[in-house]
Amino acid sequence: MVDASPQARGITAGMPLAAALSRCPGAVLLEADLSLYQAAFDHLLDVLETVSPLVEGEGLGLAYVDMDGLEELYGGEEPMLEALSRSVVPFQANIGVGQAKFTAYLAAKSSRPGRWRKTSDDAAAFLRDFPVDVLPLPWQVVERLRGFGLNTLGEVSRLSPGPLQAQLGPEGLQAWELANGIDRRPFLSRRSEEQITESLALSSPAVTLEPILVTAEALLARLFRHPKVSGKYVRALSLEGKLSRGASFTQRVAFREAVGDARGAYRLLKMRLVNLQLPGPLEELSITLMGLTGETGRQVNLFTEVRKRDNLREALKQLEARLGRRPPVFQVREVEPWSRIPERRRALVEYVP
Amino acid sequence: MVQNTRATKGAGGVRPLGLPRPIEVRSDERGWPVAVKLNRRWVTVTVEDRWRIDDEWWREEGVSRIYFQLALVDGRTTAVYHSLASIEWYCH
Repeated sequence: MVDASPQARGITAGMPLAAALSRCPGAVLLEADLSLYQAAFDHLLDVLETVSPLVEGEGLGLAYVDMDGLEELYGGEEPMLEALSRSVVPFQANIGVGQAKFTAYLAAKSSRPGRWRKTSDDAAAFLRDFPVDVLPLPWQVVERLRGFGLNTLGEVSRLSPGPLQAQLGPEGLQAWELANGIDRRPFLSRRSEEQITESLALSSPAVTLEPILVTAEALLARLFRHPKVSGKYVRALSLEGKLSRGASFTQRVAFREAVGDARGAYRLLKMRLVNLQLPGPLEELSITLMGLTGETGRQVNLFTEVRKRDNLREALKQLEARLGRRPPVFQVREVEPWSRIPERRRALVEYVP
Repeated sequence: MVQNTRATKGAGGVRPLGLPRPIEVRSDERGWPVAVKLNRRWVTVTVEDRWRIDDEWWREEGVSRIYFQLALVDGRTTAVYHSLASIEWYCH
């Protein structure tokens, strides 16, 4: 369960699907498109960074913004919160103002869309009536609290921490602390990292590895030609796939040492994808290059095909100069040679020497 | 900063080879080809083989085709198919 409509009472994110259905039998299930939601949320975080440079994204739809000392810049607290609210339009953000993450989160949760709410100075009194479902703890821990008859944060805060810790371990202590307004979680501002993404729609839905590899190779060739990547090395990449019927998958591949060309990145990616099990036919593939860095020192073999490839690259550059555009040079690659459908067997892939 | 150049979406970097092209076919009462139009001229053909392909049934536009291996009067061979989803004939 990623999320539920407000009307679906008693259902919280993270709950197993079977448990959610037993509480809300008439629920309409929608397949989550997590990569789409993540892209939209990343964009929102970018927008929030125009209001304050310190932004932390904590899962889809929840962001913490450190506004300390910015009142002067906006002419007071009210205009500052107004600017924060306006920045995320067309979304209507519930904004909470608090001294710590947990109280700010609950203030936001109990505010009206597009408006804000401040916590009172007495954090324990403010938290008292909230249900234990709001605790940022695994669903199983919350269920155990309910099993002990602890339904509100006030009931948790009235206990001593020892028994809770004995029953639930570190998460029991954390539940007690949060219920008493003690939030030890640090504010972790997100790192502004340059990334670059390219996507390709597959000509037909792929259920085997070969067409995915061919598409990944074409994407990597395109990405490493991008002016922002050219001459740089990348430390990791993220592979996102859109599957039939709206589902998606994401896989992150971190390289042991930064790679500076499409061929090297493809070789490493291929090794990681050998055991890929797709939950459905793949319709679109995206690759995001991350951790862009300057050139790293590396020792290469002198006796490779480098010279041959350099000659070909030079010839293509000359051709490009003569034509005034990138020469349309492709190579034939076998995609699904066993396919019964002739047009699925081979494909032309852009050739990058 | 995430920069997504999604403007280039599309199978631009990977082009399938041998995509079906429409072809004009005259058929007999069984629906078997008797002549195909090549270079604006009708050429008589005989059917050498016939097979059916059903695949990708999970898609809205699944693949359901009847293929005919044809021998042209000049000795050449070609394959055409008739898509069950439409009344058109295609060759690769």
